[in-house]
Amino acid sequence: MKLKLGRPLYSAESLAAGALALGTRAQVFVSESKAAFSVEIKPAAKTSPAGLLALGGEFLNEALNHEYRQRVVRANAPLTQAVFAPLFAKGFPAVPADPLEELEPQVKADRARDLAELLAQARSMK
Amino acid sequence: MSKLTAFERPPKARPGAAAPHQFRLLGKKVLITDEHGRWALLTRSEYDRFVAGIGPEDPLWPVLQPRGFLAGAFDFDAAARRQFERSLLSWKGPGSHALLLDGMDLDGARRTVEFVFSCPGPQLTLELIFDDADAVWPVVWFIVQYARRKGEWSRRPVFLIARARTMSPDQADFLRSHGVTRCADLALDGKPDMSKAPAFRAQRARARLGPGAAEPAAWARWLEKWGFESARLLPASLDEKGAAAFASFHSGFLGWLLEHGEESNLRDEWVLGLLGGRLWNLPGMDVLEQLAYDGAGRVYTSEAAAGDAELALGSVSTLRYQDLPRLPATGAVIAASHPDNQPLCAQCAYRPFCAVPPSINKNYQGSVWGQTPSSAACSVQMGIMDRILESLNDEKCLNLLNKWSVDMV
Repeated sequence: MKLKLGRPLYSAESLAAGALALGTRAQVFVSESKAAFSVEIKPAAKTSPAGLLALGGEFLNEALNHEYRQRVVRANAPLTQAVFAPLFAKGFPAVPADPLEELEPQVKADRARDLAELLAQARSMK
Repeated sequence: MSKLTAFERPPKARPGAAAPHQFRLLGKKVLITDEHGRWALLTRSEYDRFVAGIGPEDPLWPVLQPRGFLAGAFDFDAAARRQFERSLLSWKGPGSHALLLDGMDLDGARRTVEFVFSCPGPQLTLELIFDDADAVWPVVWFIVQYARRKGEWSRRPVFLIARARTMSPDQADFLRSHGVTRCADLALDGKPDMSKAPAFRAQRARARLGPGAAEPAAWARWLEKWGFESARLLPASLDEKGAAAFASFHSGFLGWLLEHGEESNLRDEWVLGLLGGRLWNLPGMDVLEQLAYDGAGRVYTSEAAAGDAELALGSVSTLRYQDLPRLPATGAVIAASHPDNQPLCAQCAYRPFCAVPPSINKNYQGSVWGQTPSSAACSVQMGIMDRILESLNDEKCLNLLNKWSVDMV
Protein backbone atom coordinates (compact mmCIF):
# COMPACT_ATOMS: atom_id res chain seq x y z
CA MET A 1 0.00 0.00 0.00
CA LYS A 2 1.39 3.39 -0.97
CA LEU A 3 0.36 6.68 0.58
CA LYS A 4 1.34 10.27 -0.08
CA LEU A 5 1.05 12.58 2.94
CA GLY A 6 1.41 16.34 2.90
CA ARG A 7 4.26 17.70 5.04
CA PRO A 8 2.54 20.60 6.72
CA LEU A 9 0.07 18.19 8.32
CA TYR A 10 2.27 15.17 9.03
CA SER A 11 5.71 15.20 10.63
CA ALA A 12 8.35 12.46 10.51
CA GLU A 13 7.63 11.75 14.22
CA SER A 14 3.96 11.15 13.54
CA LEU A 15 4.83 8.65 10.79
CA ALA A 16 7.19 6.90 13.21
CA ALA A 17 4.31 6.70 15.73
CA GLY A 18 2.08 5.20 13.04
CA ALA A 19 4.75 2.64 12.17
CA LEU A 20 5.18 1.77 15.84
CA ALA A 21 1.46 1.09 16.12
CA LEU A 22 1.73 -1.56 13.40
CA GLY A 23 4.57 -3.26 15.29
CA THR A 24 5.81 -6.46 13.67
CA ARG A 25 2.71 -6.81 11.50
CA ALA A 26 4.14 -4.66 8.73
CA GLN A 27 7.23 -2.87 7.47
CA VAL A 28 6.88 0.84 6.79
CA PHE A 29 9.14 2.58 4.28
CA VAL A 30 9.24 6.36 4.13
CA SER A 31 10.84 8.73 1.65
CA GLU A 32 10.42 12.46 1.62
CA SER A 33 10.37 15.37 -0.79
CA LYS A 34 9.98 19.07 0.00
CA ALA A 35 6.21 18.92 -0.04
CA ALA A 36 5.26 15.41 0.98
CA PHE A 37 6.15 12.07 2.48
CA SER A 38 5.75 8.90 0.43
CA VAL A 39 4.89 5.94 2.61
CA GLU A 40 4.83 2.29 1.63
CA ILE A 41 3.30 -0.28 4.00
CA LYS A 42 4.36 -3.89 3.39
CA PRO A 43 2.51 -6.41 5.55
CA ALA A 44 4.71 -9.08 7.19
CA ALA A 45 2.32 -11.86 6.16
CA LYS A 46 0.02 -12.40 3.22
CA THR A 47 -2.93 -10.07 3.75
CA SER A 48 -6.30 -9.64 2.04
CA PRO A 49 -7.12 -6.26 0.43
CA ALA A 50 -9.45 -5.52 3.39
CA GLY A 51 -6.69 -6.41 5.85
CA LEU A 52 -4.26 -4.14 3.99
CA LEU A 53 -6.77 -1.31 4.08
CA ALA A 54 -7.21 -1.85 7.82
CA LEU A 55 -3.43 -1.70 8.35
CA GLY A 56 -3.26 1.53 6.37
CA GLY A 57 -6.16 2.92 8.37
CA GLU A 58 -4.50 2.02 11.64
CA PHE A 59 -1.27 3.64 10.50
CA LEU A 60 -3.03 6.85 9.48
CA ASN A 61 -5.13 6.93 12.66
CA GLU A 62 -2.10 6.73 14.90
CA ALA A 63 -0.07 9.16 12.79
CA LEU A 64 -2.84 11.74 12.86
CA ASN A 65 -3.55 11.12 16.53
CA HIS A 66 0.13 11.58 17.34
CA GLU A 67 0.34 14.79 15.34
CA TYR A 68 -2.72 16.27 17.00
CA ARG A 69 -1.61 15.12 20.46
CA GLN A 70 1.73 16.87 19.97
CA ARG A 71 -0.13 20.07 19.19
CA VAL A 72 -2.22 19.68 22.35
CA VAL A 73 0.91 18.95 24.41
CA ARG A 74 2.66 22.03 23.00
CA ALA A 75 -0.38 24.26 23.50
CA ASN A 76 -0.74 23.22 27.15
CA ALA A 77 2.98 23.04 27.89
CA PRO A 78 3.06 26.19 30.05
CA LEU A 79 0.48 24.60 32.37
CA THR A 80 1.76 21.03 32.45
CA GLN A 81 5.41 22.04 32.75
CA ALA A 82 4.56 24.06 35.85
CA VAL A 83 3.24 20.85 37.41
CA PHE A 84 5.64 18.23 36.02
CA ALA A 85 8.88 20.20 36.47
CA PRO A 86 8.69 20.45 40.29
CA LEU A 87 7.35 16.88 40.52
CA PHE A 88 10.37 15.39 38.77
CA ALA A 89 12.84 17.98 40.08
CA LYS A 90 12.23 17.03 43.70
CA GLY A 91 12.30 13.32 42.79
CA PHE A 92 10.33 10.72 44.70
CA PRO A 93 11.87 10.77 48.16
CA ALA A 94 11.44 7.45 49.95
CA VAL A 95 10.42 7.20 53.58
CA PRO A 96 13.52 7.80 55.72
CA ALA A 97 14.76 5.11 58.10
CA ASP A 98 12.74 4.90 61.32
CA PRO A 99 14.50 7.17 63.84
CA LEU A 100 13.45 4.87 66.69
CA GLU A 101 15.29 1.96 65.09
CA GLU A 102 18.28 4.20 64.45
CA LEU A 103 18.44 5.46 68.04
CA GLU A 104 17.57 2.22 69.83
CA PRO A 105 19.33 -0.85 68.41
CA GLN A 106 17.15 -2.97 70.70
CA VAL A 107 14.00 -1.80 68.88
CA LYS A 108 15.51 -2.90 65.58
CA ALA A 109 16.49 -6.27 67.09
CA ASP A 110 13.03 -6.79 68.63
CA ARG A 111 11.35 -6.04 65.31
CA ALA A 112 13.68 -8.39 63.44
CA ARG A 113 12.85 -11.14 65.94
CA ASP A 114 9.15 -10.42 65.57
CA LEU A 115 9.45 -10.71 61.79
CA ALA A 116 11.41 -13.99 62.04
CA GLU A 117 8.68 -15.43 64.29
CA LEU A 118 5.98 -14.38 61.85
CA LEU A 119 7.82 -15.99 58.95
CA ALA A 120 8.37 -19.19 60.94
CA GLN A 121 4.69 -19.33 61.89
CA ALA A 122 3.63 -18.76 58.27
CA ARG A 123 6.02 -21.48 57.05
CA SER A 124 4.59 -23.93 59.57
CA MET A 125 1.14 -23.44 57.97
CA LYS A 126 2.22 -25.17 54.78
CA MET B 1 -16.88 11.64 15.68
CA SER B 2 -16.18 13.75 18.73
CA LYS B 3 -17.36 12.73 22.15
CA LEU B 4 -17.52 16.39 23.08
CA THR B 5 -20.74 18.32 22.64
CA ALA B 6 -21.34 21.50 20.66
CA PHE B 7 -24.08 24.11 20.47
CA GLU B 8 -26.14 24.14 17.30
CA ARG B 9 -26.34 27.89 17.70
CA PRO B 10 -23.28 29.10 19.61
CA PRO B 11 -24.12 31.72 22.25
CA LYS B 12 -22.94 35.30 21.85
CA ALA B 13 -20.09 35.65 24.29
CA ARG B 14 -18.68 38.92 25.55
CA PRO B 15 -14.91 38.67 25.96
CA GLY B 16 -13.92 39.04 29.59
CA ALA B 17 -17.33 38.08 31.00
CA ALA B 18 -16.95 34.38 31.78
CA ALA B 19 -13.88 32.95 33.46
CA PRO B 20 -12.18 30.01 31.67
CA HIS B 21 -14.39 26.96 31.80
CA GLN B 22 -15.42 23.88 29.83
CA PHE B 23 -19.00 23.10 28.97
CA ARG B 24 -20.97 19.97 28.15
CA LEU B 25 -24.55 19.71 26.96
CA LEU B 26 -26.47 17.23 29.09
CA GLY B 27 -29.99 16.96 27.72
CA LYS B 28 -31.45 20.44 28.01
CA LYS B 29 -28.87 21.51 30.59
CA VAL B 30 -25.41 22.97 30.15
CA LEU B 31 -22.83 21.69 32.61
CA ILE B 32 -19.90 24.02 33.19
CA THR B 33 -16.77 23.08 35.08
CA ASP B 34 -13.52 24.83 35.80
CA GLU B 35 -10.16 23.13 35.98
CA HIS B 36 -10.40 22.77 39.74
CA GLY B 37 -13.62 20.72 39.64
CA ARG B 38 -16.08 23.48 40.47
CA TRP B 39 -19.27 23.13 38.52
CA ALA B 40 -22.71 24.57 37.77
CA LEU B 41 -25.63 23.11 35.86
CA LEU B 42 -27.39 25.82 33.86
CA THR B 43 -30.29 26.06 31.49
CA ARG B 44 -29.46 27.16 27.96
CA SER B 45 -30.81 30.66 28.56
CA GLU B 46 -28.82 30.94 31.81
CA TYR B 47 -25.67 29.89 29.95
CA ASP B 48 -26.31 32.47 27.22
CA ARG B 49 -26.70 35.16 29.91
CA PHE B 50 -23.57 33.97 31.72
CA VAL B 51 -21.28 34.20 28.68
CA ALA B 52 -22.85 37.48 27.57
CA GLY B 53 -21.96 38.95 30.97
CA ILE B 54 -23.98 39.32 34.17
CA GLY B 55 -23.93 41.86 36.98
CA PRO B 56 -24.41 41.48 40.74
CA GLU B 57 -28.18 42.06 40.33
CA ASP B 58 -28.54 38.87 38.26
CA PRO B 59 -29.85 35.82 40.20
CA LEU B 60 -27.00 33.79 38.66
CA TRP B 61 -24.37 36.02 40.24
CA PRO B 62 -24.52 34.46 43.76
CA VAL B 63 -24.38 31.00 42.18
CA LEU B 64 -21.46 31.58 39.82
CA GLN B 65 -19.37 34.21 41.59
CA PRO B 66 -18.35 32.09 44.62
CA ARG B 67 -17.52 29.21 42.27
CA GLY B 68 -15.07 31.34 40.32
CA PHE B 69 -16.89 31.45 36.98
CA LEU B 70 -17.04 35.23 36.60
CA ALA B 71 -13.92 36.79 35.13
CA GLY B 72 -14.56 40.17 36.67
CA ALA B 73 -14.89 38.76 40.18
CA PHE B 74 -12.26 36.03 39.99
CA ASP B 75 -10.51 35.12 43.24
CA PHE B 76 -6.94 34.42 42.11
CA ASP B 77 -5.73 33.43 45.59
CA ALA B 78 -8.48 30.85 45.99
CA ALA B 79 -7.79 29.51 42.48
CA ALA B 80 -4.07 29.18 43.26
CA ARG B 81 -4.86 27.33 46.49
CA ARG B 82 -7.19 24.94 44.71
CA GLN B 83 -4.70 24.41 41.91
CA PHE B 84 -2.05 23.44 44.44
CA GLU B 85 -4.37 21.14 46.39
CA ARG B 86 -5.78 19.31 43.39
CA SER B 87 -2.85 19.15 41.01
CA LEU B 88 0.17 16.87 41.14
CA LEU B 89 1.94 19.63 43.06
CA SER B 90 0.53 18.11 46.24
CA TRP B 91 0.95 14.48 45.25
CA LYS B 92 2.59 12.53 48.06
CA GLY B 93 3.15 9.13 46.44
CA PRO B 94 1.08 6.17 45.29
CA GLY B 95 -1.41 5.32 48.02
CA SER B 96 -2.61 2.02 46.65
CA HIS B 97 -0.53 -1.14 46.20
CA ALA B 98 -1.92 -4.16 44.38
CA LEU B 99 -0.24 -7.39 45.46
CA LEU B 100 -0.88 -10.23 43.03
CA LEU B 101 -0.32 -13.17 45.32
CA ASP B 102 -0.53 -16.14 42.95
CA GLY B 103 2.99 -17.58 42.83
CA MET B 104 4.34 -15.35 45.62
CA ASP B 105 6.44 -17.02 48.34
CA LEU B 106 6.98 -15.75 51.87
CA ASP B 107 10.33 -14.12 51.20
CA GLY B 108 8.85 -12.35 48.19
CA ALA B 109 5.91 -11.25 50.36
CA ARG B 110 8.30 -9.81 52.99
CA ARG B 111 10.29 -7.89 50.37
CA THR B 112 7.10 -6.62 48.74
CA VAL B 113 5.68 -5.33 52.04
CA GLU B 114 9.00 -3.65 52.80
CA PHE B 115 9.02 -1.97 49.38
CA VAL B 116 5.44 -0.77 49.92
CA PHE B 117 6.38 0.78 53.24
CA SER B 118 9.32 2.59 51.65
CA CYS B 119 6.74 4.56 49.63
CA PRO B 120 5.74 7.85 51.23
CA GLY B 121 2.21 9.11 51.72
CA PRO B 122 0.04 9.72 54.71
CA GLN B 123 -1.66 6.34 54.39
CA LEU B 124 -1.19 3.11 52.51
CA THR B 125 -3.66 0.66 51.05
CA LEU B 126 -2.50 -2.88 50.32
CA GLU B 127 -4.89 -4.87 48.15
CA LEU B 128 -4.12 -8.58 48.27
CA ILE B 129 -5.40 -10.15 45.06
CA PHE B 130 -5.77 -13.89 44.66
CA ASP B 131 -8.12 -16.44 43.23
CA ASP B 132 -8.56 -19.09 45.89
CA ALA B 133 -7.48 -18.30 49.46
CA ASP B 134 -6.48 -21.93 50.14
CA ALA B 135 -3.73 -21.74 47.52
CA VAL B 136 -1.99 -18.72 49.07
CA TRP B 137 -3.19 -18.65 52.67
CA PRO B 138 0.22 -18.59 54.48
CA VAL B 139 1.22 -15.61 52.31
CA VAL B 140 -2.09 -13.82 53.00
CA TRP B 141 -1.75 -14.51 56.74
CA PHE B 142 1.84 -13.27 56.80
CA ILE B 143 1.19 -10.06 54.82
CA VAL B 144 -1.75 -9.14 57.03
CA GLN B 145 0.31 -9.61 60.20
CA TYR B 146 3.46 -7.96 58.89
CA ALA B 147 1.68 -4.99 57.27
CA ARG B 148 -0.22 -4.36 60.51
CA ARG B 149 3.06 -4.30 62.45
CA LYS B 150 4.77 -2.12 59.85
CA GLY B 151 1.83 0.28 60.08
CA GLU B 152 2.21 0.53 63.86
CA TRP B 153 5.96 0.96 63.63
CA SER B 154 5.75 3.67 60.99
CA ARG B 155 2.69 5.28 62.65
CA ARG B 156 0.82 5.36 59.35
CA PRO B 157 -2.76 4.23 58.80
CA VAL B 158 -2.79 1.04 56.76
CA PHE B 159 -5.86 -0.22 54.93
CA LEU B 160 -5.89 -3.84 53.90
CA ILE B 161 -8.17 -5.31 51.28
CA ALA B 162 -8.37 -9.00 50.33
CA ARG B 163 -9.87 -9.54 46.88
CA ALA B 164 -10.68 -13.12 45.96
CA ARG B 165 -13.09 -15.42 44.23
CA THR B 166 -13.28 -17.85 47.12
CA MET B 167 -12.31 -18.12 50.76
CA SER B 168 -13.56 -20.23 53.65
CA PRO B 169 -15.63 -18.78 56.52
CA ASP B 170 -12.60 -19.23 58.84
CA GLN B 171 -10.38 -17.30 56.46
CA ALA B 172 -13.00 -14.57 56.12
CA ASP B 173 -13.26 -14.42 59.93
CA PHE B 174 -9.51 -14.06 60.32
CA LEU B 175 -9.48 -11.21 57.80
CA ARG B 176 -12.45 -9.50 59.46
CA SER B 177 -10.87 -9.74 62.92
CA HIS B 178 -7.70 -8.12 61.55
CA GLY B 179 -9.59 -5.25 59.99
CA VAL B 180 -9.16 -6.46 56.42
CA THR B 181 -11.87 -5.41 54.00
CA ARG B 182 -13.07 -8.37 51.96
CA CYS B 183 -13.75 -7.80 48.30
CA ALA B 184 -15.51 -10.48 46.27
CA ASP B 185 -14.57 -10.95 42.62
CA LEU B 186 -17.95 -11.58 41.01
CA ALA B 187 -19.27 -12.27 37.55
CA LEU B 188 -22.76 -10.86 36.97
CA ASP B 189 -24.66 -12.48 34.16
CA GLY B 190 -28.33 -12.81 33.40
CA LYS B 191 -30.64 -11.94 36.28
CA PRO B 192 -29.71 -12.45 39.93
CA ASP B 193 -31.00 -15.36 41.97
CA MET B 194 -31.89 -13.48 45.15
CA SER B 195 -31.63 -16.63 47.26
CA LYS B 196 -28.11 -17.49 46.07
CA ALA B 197 -25.44 -16.07 48.39
CA PRO B 198 -22.00 -14.96 47.16
CA ALA B 199 -19.02 -17.29 47.78
CA PHE B 200 -18.18 -15.44 51.01
CA ARG B 201 -19.32 -12.45 53.04
CA ALA B 202 -17.62 -9.33 51.75
CA GLN B 203 -18.06 -5.58 52.06
CA ARG B 204 -16.96 -4.77 48.55
CA ALA B 205 -17.77 -6.27 45.17
CA ARG B 206 -15.74 -6.11 42.01
CA ALA B 207 -18.30 -7.29 39.55
CA ARG B 208 -17.55 -8.02 35.91
CA LEU B 209 -20.65 -7.96 33.75
CA GLY B 210 -21.25 -10.96 31.58
CA PRO B 211 -22.57 -10.50 28.03
CA GLY B 212 -26.09 -11.31 29.21
CA ALA B 213 -26.13 -9.17 32.38
CA ALA B 214 -29.62 -7.76 32.82
CA GLU B 215 -31.79 -6.00 35.39
CA PRO B 216 -29.26 -3.72 37.06
CA ALA B 217 -31.79 -2.70 39.74
CA ALA B 218 -32.24 -6.35 40.71
CA TRP B 219 -28.47 -6.80 40.91
CA ALA B 220 -28.24 -3.70 43.12
CA ARG B 221 -30.89 -5.25 45.41
CA TRP B 222 -28.94 -8.53 45.40
CA LEU B 223 -25.72 -6.76 46.41
CA GLU B 224 -27.61 -4.84 49.08
CA LYS B 225 -29.27 -8.00 50.40
CA TRP B 226 -25.95 -9.81 50.85
CA GLY B 227 -24.38 -6.96 52.79
CA PHE B 228 -22.11 -5.37 50.20
CA GLU B 229 -21.30 -1.74 51.01
CA SER B 230 -19.81 -0.79 47.67
CA ALA B 231 -19.47 -2.16 44.18
CA ARG B 232 -17.27 -1.50 41.20
CA LEU B 233 -18.88 -2.79 38.03
CA LEU B 234 -16.64 -3.66 35.12
CA PRO B 235 -17.61 -4.04 31.45
CA ALA B 236 -17.61 -7.49 29.87
CA SER B 237 -15.22 -6.18 27.23
CA LEU B 238 -13.62 -2.84 26.46
CA ASP B 239 -14.87 -2.42 22.91
CA GLU B 240 -17.69 -0.36 21.45
CA LYS B 241 -20.32 -3.01 22.17
CA GLY B 242 -19.03 -3.71 25.70
CA ALA B 243 -18.91 0.02 26.50
CA ALA B 244 -22.48 0.58 25.29
CA ALA B 245 -23.82 -2.43 27.26
CA PHE B 246 -21.94 -1.29 30.33
CA ALA B 247 -23.24 2.30 30.05
CA SER B 248 -26.80 1.08 29.92
CA PHE B 249 -26.38 -1.36 32.83
CA HIS B 250 -24.45 1.09 34.98
CA SER B 251 -26.99 3.82 34.34
CA GLY B 252 -29.72 1.52 35.67
CA PHE B 253 -27.55 0.60 38.64
CA LEU B 254 -26.92 4.27 39.47
CA GLY B 255 -30.60 5.00 38.96
CA TRP B 256 -31.44 2.47 41.67
CA LEU B 257 -28.84 3.96 44.00
CA LEU B 258 -30.20 7.47 43.41
CA GLU B 259 -33.72 6.24 44.10
CA HIS B 260 -32.84 4.22 47.21
CA GLY B 261 -29.87 6.21 48.45
CA GLU B 262 -31.50 7.19 51.72
CA GLU B 263 -32.10 3.67 52.98
CA SER B 264 -29.33 1.79 51.14
CA ASN B 265 -25.72 1.50 52.30
CA LEU B 266 -24.51 0.46 48.85
CA ARG B 267 -22.11 2.85 47.13
CA ASP B 268 -20.77 3.00 43.60
CA GLU B 269 -16.98 2.92 43.52
CA TRP B 270 -16.75 4.48 40.06
CA VAL B 271 -18.52 7.60 41.27
CA LEU B 272 -16.41 7.72 44.42
CA GLY B 273 -13.20 7.42 42.41
CA LEU B 274 -14.07 9.87 39.65
CA LEU B 275 -15.63 12.56 41.81
CA GLY B 276 -12.63 12.48 44.14
CA GLY B 277 -11.36 15.01 41.62
CA ARG B 278 -7.68 14.23 41.92
CA LEU B 279 -5.63 12.38 39.35
CA TRP B 280 -3.89 10.38 42.06
CA ASN B 281 -7.23 9.22 43.51
CA LEU B 282 -8.46 7.64 40.29
CA PRO B 283 -8.41 3.87 40.87
CA GLY B 284 -5.66 2.13 38.94
CA MET B 285 -3.94 5.33 37.77
CA ASP B 286 -0.43 4.17 36.97
CA VAL B 287 2.26 5.16 39.51
CA LEU B 288 0.26 8.16 40.72
CA GLU B 289 -2.44 6.13 42.46
CA GLN B 290 -1.18 2.58 42.23
CA LEU B 291 1.81 0.29 41.98
CA ALA B 292 1.45 -3.45 41.47
CA TYR B 293 3.62 -6.40 42.43
CA ASP B 294 3.44 -9.89 40.98
CA GLY B 295 4.30 -13.28 42.47
CA ALA B 296 7.83 -13.15 41.06
CA GLY B 297 8.55 -9.84 42.81
CA ARG B 298 8.28 -7.64 39.73
CA VAL B 299 6.96 -4.11 40.22
CA TYR B 300 4.56 -2.67 37.64
CA THR B 301 3.02 0.74 37.09
CA SER B 302 -0.43 -0.65 38.00
CA GLU B 303 -2.45 -3.85 38.23
CA ALA B 304 -3.56 -3.49 34.60
CA ALA B 305 0.11 -3.30 33.59
CA ALA B 306 1.05 -6.60 35.27
CA GLY B 307 2.82 -8.87 32.80
CA ASP B 308 3.70 -6.03 30.41
CA ALA B 309 7.50 -5.85 30.18
CA GLU B 310 7.37 -2.24 28.97
CA LEU B 311 5.53 -1.17 32.10
CA ALA B 312 7.68 -3.19 34.49
CA LEU B 313 9.69 -0.98 36.84
CA GLY B 314 12.04 -3.53 38.39
CA SER B 315 12.17 -6.08 41.17
CA VAL B 316 11.26 -5.55 44.82
CA SER B 317 14.69 -6.99 45.67
CA THR B 318 16.66 -4.28 43.89
CA LEU B 319 14.34 -1.39 43.02
CA ARG B 320 14.24 1.60 45.33
CA TYR B 321 11.25 3.94 45.45
CA GLN B 322 13.51 6.94 44.83
CA ASP B 323 14.64 5.34 41.53
CA LEU B 324 11.16 5.53 40.01
CA PRO B 325 11.33 9.02 38.46
CA ARG B 326 14.44 8.04 36.50
CA LEU B 327 12.68 5.13 34.77
CA PRO B 328 11.29 5.78 31.27
CA ALA B 329 8.06 3.92 32.06
CA THR B 330 7.34 6.23 35.00
CA GLY B 331 7.76 9.38 32.93
CA ALA B 332 5.70 7.94 30.09
CA VAL B 333 2.70 6.93 32.20
CA ILE B 334 2.67 10.15 34.22
CA ALA B 335 2.84 12.29 31.08
CA ALA B 336 0.20 10.18 29.34
CA SER B 337 -2.15 10.23 32.32
CA HIS B 338 -2.43 14.00 32.46
CA PRO B 339 -5.61 15.16 30.71
CA ASP B 340 -3.92 18.36 29.53
CA ASN B 341 -1.73 16.18 27.30
CA GLN B 342 -4.62 14.30 25.68
CA PRO B 343 -6.72 15.34 22.68
CA LEU B 344 -10.39 15.69 23.74
CA CYS B 345 -9.53 15.40 27.45
CA ALA B 346 -7.87 18.83 27.33
CA GLN B 347 -11.19 20.36 26.23
CA CYS B 348 -13.53 18.07 28.15
CA ALA B 349 -15.83 19.26 30.92
CA TYR B 350 -14.85 16.16 32.90
CA ARG B 351 -11.14 16.96 32.75
CA PRO B 352 -10.95 17.81 36.49
CA PHE B 353 -12.42 14.41 37.41
CA CYS B 354 -11.48 11.86 34.86
CA ALA B 355 -8.59 10.20 33.02
CA VAL B 356 -8.03 6.76 31.57
CA PRO B 357 -5.06 4.95 33.12
CA PRO B 358 -2.25 4.66 30.52
CA SER B 359 -1.92 0.91 31.16
CA ILE B 360 -5.58 0.49 30.12
CA ASN B 361 -4.83 2.50 26.98
CA LYS B 362 -1.88 0.24 26.28
CA ASN B 363 -3.87 -2.95 26.84
CA TYR B 364 -6.70 -1.96 24.54
CA GLN B 365 -5.23 0.56 22.08
CA GLY B 366 -1.56 -0.38 21.91
CA SER B 367 0.12 2.67 23.46
CA VAL B 368 0.08 4.44 26.83
CA TRP B 369 -1.46 7.46 25.10
CA GLY B 370 -4.28 5.55 23.48
CA GLN B 371 -6.63 7.31 21.09
CA THR B 372 -9.27 9.17 23.05
CA PRO B 373 -11.83 9.54 20.25
CA SER B 374 -12.15 5.78 19.81
CA SER B 375 -11.36 4.73 23.39
CA ALA B 376 -14.06 2.52 24.91
CA ALA B 377 -12.57 3.14 28.36
CA CYS B 378 -13.14 6.86 27.80
CA SER B 379 -16.73 6.16 26.69
CA VAL B 380 -17.36 4.13 29.84
CA GLN B 381 -16.11 6.88 32.14
CA MET B 382 -17.88 9.65 30.24
CA GLY B 383 -21.12 7.67 30.44
CA ILE B 384 -20.80 7.40 34.21
CA MET B 385 -20.01 11.09 34.55
CA ASP B 386 -22.94 12.05 32.29
CA ARG B 387 -25.33 9.97 34.38
CA ILE B 388 -24.29 11.36 37.75
CA LEU B 389 -23.61 14.98 36.78
CA GLU B 390 -26.88 15.46 34.89
CA SER B 391 -28.57 14.87 38.25
CA LEU B 392 -26.49 17.37 40.18
CA ASN B 393 -29.30 19.89 40.55
CA ASP B 394 -31.45 17.19 42.11
CA GLU B 395 -31.46 17.31 45.90
CA LYS B 396 -31.65 13.50 46.08
CA CYS B 397 -28.42 13.20 44.15
CA LEU B 398 -26.62 15.81 46.22
CA ASN B 399 -27.83 14.14 49.44
CA LEU B 400 -26.54 10.81 48.18
CA LEU B 401 -23.13 12.23 47.28
CA ASN B 402 -23.05 13.94 50.66
CA LYS B 403 -23.81 10.61 52.34
CA TRP B 404 -20.93 9.06 50.36
CA SER B 405 -18.67 11.91 51.58
CA VAL B 406 -18.13 13.18 48.04
CA ASP B 407 -17.22 16.84 48.19
CA MET B 408 -19.00 18.44 45.23
CA VAL B 409 -18.01 22.04 45.87
